[in-house]
Amino acid sequence: MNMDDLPNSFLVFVGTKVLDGCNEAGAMLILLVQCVREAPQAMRRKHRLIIQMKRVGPDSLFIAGALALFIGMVLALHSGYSLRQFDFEEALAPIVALSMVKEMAPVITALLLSGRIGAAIAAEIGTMQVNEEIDALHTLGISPVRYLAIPRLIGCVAMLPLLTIYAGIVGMYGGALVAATYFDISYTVYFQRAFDSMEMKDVMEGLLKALLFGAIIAIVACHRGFSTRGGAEGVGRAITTCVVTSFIAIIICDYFVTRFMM
Amino acid sequence: MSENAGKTYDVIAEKLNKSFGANHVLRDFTLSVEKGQTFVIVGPSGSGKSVFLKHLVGLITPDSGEVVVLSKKINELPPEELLALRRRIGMVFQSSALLNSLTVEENVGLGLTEHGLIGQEEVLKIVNEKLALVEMSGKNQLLPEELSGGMRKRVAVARTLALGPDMILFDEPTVGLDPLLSSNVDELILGLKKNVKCTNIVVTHDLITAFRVADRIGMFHDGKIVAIGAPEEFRRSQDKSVQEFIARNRDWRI
Repeated sequence: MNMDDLPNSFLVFVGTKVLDGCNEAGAMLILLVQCVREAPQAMRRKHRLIIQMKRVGPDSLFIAGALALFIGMVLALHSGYSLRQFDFEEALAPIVALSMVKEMAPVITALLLSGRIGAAIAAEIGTMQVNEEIDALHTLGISPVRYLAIPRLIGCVAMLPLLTIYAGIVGMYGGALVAATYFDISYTVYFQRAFDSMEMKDVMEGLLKALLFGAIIAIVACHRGFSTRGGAEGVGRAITTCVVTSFIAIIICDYFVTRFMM
Repeated sequence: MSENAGKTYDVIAEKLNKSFGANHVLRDFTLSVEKGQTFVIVGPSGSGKSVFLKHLVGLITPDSGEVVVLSKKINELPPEELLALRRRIGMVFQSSALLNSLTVEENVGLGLTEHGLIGQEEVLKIVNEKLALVEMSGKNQLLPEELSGGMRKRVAVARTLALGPDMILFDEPTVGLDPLLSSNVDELILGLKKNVKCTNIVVTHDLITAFRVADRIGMFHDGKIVAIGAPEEFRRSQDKSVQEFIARNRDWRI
C-alpha cells in the first residue's frame, strides 16, 4: 500500500464503522418502535410474559445479591479507610448508600443481566434464526416480534428496576457489615445516616437508569438474535457482539442520564 | 386466485429478479401455477429454487418483478395483511423448522393458539386430527429432538395443515432422508393431493419425487424455468439441461 493512501484508508475505515453503527442503532430503534406498537396484542399471552419475568427476576436473585453484597463491602472498605485519614467516618454510610442507589446497583445489575440474560436471548433467537424457526413463525402468520421480542422486552423492563432496588438494599447491607466490623459504626447509625442522606430524586435516578438499561439489554439482544447469519459460528458472533454492544450502550446511557438528572 | 383464459391461478410470478451480491439467483423468472395443481420445480441443489419459494411468502422481496399469490400482490401488502395471507399458505421447510423448545402437539397447534380464534379444546381436536392424517397419532408429547428426520417432516406438514391452508409449499421435502423415508414423504404429498385438495408447490432435486407427485414439472436452470410440462411431456423434453438432469438422476434411489 502506498503511504500516501494511509490517511485516506483510515478515514474510509472510520467512516464505514460510523455508518455501520448508525445502521445498527437505526435497526434497533425500529425494533423498539415495533415492540411498542405491537405490545397490546402480545400482552394477551400473559403466561409468556411471566416466564420471561421469572427468568430475569427471581432466577437472577442469588447472583445479583452476591454481586451487590461484595460491591457494597468493597465500596465501604475503600471509602472507610480514606475517610478515616480525615477523621470523617460518619460520611461512610451516605457515600455507600448514594453510590449504590444512583450508580452501582443499576449499572452492575444491568451489566450482569446483559451477560446472563442478554447473551441467552441472543443465543436463543439466533439459533432459531439459523434453524429457520423464525421463518417458520412468519409463514404461520405469527409475528416474531410479538412472539419473541416483546415478552423479553417486558421481562427486562419490568424486572430490572426491581432487581436494582434489591441490589441497592443488599449492597447497602454489605457496606453496613464492613462499617460495623472495621469502623465501629452500628447498623442503626449506619442505616439512619444512609436514609437521611438520600432523597427521592436519587432513588428515581437509579430506577430510571434500570428501566432504560432493561430496554437496552432486551432490544440489543433481540436485534442481534434476529440478524444472526451463518450457523453455529454466527450464533457465537451474535452473543459476543450482543454483550459488547450492551455494555457500551449501558455505560453511554448511564453518563447521559446522570448528566440529565444533575 | 387470478383468472386467465378460463383458468384460475394461485401463483403468478412475472419477471422476478433477485441477486445476493454478485450472485444473480433469479433472472426474469416467470411462472404461473394453477389452482389445485401440484407443481414441482426441479433443479440442482443450491441453484436458488428455494429463493423463489421464499418470495411466495414474502420472506424475500424481489429486486424487480411482481409476485401475485392468492390474488394478492405480496410485496405491496401492509404487515398485518401479509400475516393474514401467510396463514393461508403453509410452508414445509427443508429443515422442517419445528420449534425445538415446543412439543409435537404445541408445534402443530402453534398457529391456532397464537391466532386465538378457537378454544384450547378445539385446538387439541384439530391437532390430533392433523397428526392422524400424517400418521403421527400418539406422538403429541415428544420433543422435535426425539423424532427422526421423516417424522419431523410429517409434524411440519401437520403444522401447516392445522391452519387449513389454500396452498402448501414444500422446500426440498426429501433432502437428507433415506430412500424409504423419501418414499414415505412422497406418499404423504400424494395423500394430501387426494384428501386436502389444495395447491402444492414442491421444490426438489429428486426426480423420483417429482415424477411421482407432480401434475406439472418445471426445470429451474440459470435463474429461470427453462422447460415446463406434465411429467411425461417433461421426460421427453429436448431441452439440454432437462436431459442432462434426468441422466444424472437416473440411478438415484435404486
